[in-house]
Amino acid sequence: MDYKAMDDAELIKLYINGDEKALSTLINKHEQRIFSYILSKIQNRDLANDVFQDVFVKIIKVFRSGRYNEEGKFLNWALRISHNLVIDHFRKQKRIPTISNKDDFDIFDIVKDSTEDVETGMIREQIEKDLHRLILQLPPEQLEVLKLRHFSGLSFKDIADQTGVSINTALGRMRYALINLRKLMEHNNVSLSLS
Amino acid sequence: MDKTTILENNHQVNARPDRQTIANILNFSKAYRHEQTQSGIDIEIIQN
Repeated sequence: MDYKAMDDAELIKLYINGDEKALSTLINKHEQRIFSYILSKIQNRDLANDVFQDVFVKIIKVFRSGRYNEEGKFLNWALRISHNLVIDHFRKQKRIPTISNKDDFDIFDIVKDSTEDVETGMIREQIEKDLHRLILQLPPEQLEVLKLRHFSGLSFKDIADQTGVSINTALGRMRYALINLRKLMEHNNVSLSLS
Repeated sequence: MDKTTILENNHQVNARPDRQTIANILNFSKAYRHEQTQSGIDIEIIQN
């Protein structure tokens, strides 16, 4: 069988049916793109290898559970998994305590950069994307109150006037929007924490 | 004057993972089994 001539969908189908060689070919075909992406973000070859391995462990688990339904867009999907695992890596890294200088003088107090670092920026960007996706799933009347309150900065009185409801109704809609948003976060396994 | 231009590969666009990493993935694949019980519970098994 000429594995190299096969497209991703064919290789995945073969692998799901138990052909290990198909997985090997699939990895060989995309390892450069996926690993380069991870390495460009993490900038450490050993850690990039760890993340790359985690990406394929995740992919294998999805294939074997029968939940794969990307239909020919394997690389995009694999890069999305890579992106999420890179973010997980940075999140974990921030939780690991570091040894601080015991001397009074610390050069990093002087050269400290107050701008957001690349890792935090990536996590923040992902949080904003996740949040935007979840907010759009809210019922329209709750979405409207949430937008007017948080994005337009209106008071509940102004929201009530603008939407033609009482202040209590506007407050109630806001409350349910937050409750529903929390449920959606749990359901979608989304974390909105920077650390 | 030396006119040689050196193109640096700062973005590691051609990087590939270590062969050991690939071997680890393929070994995991051979050892990993996924099953689902009749009640719909997912079971993951790593065989030696």
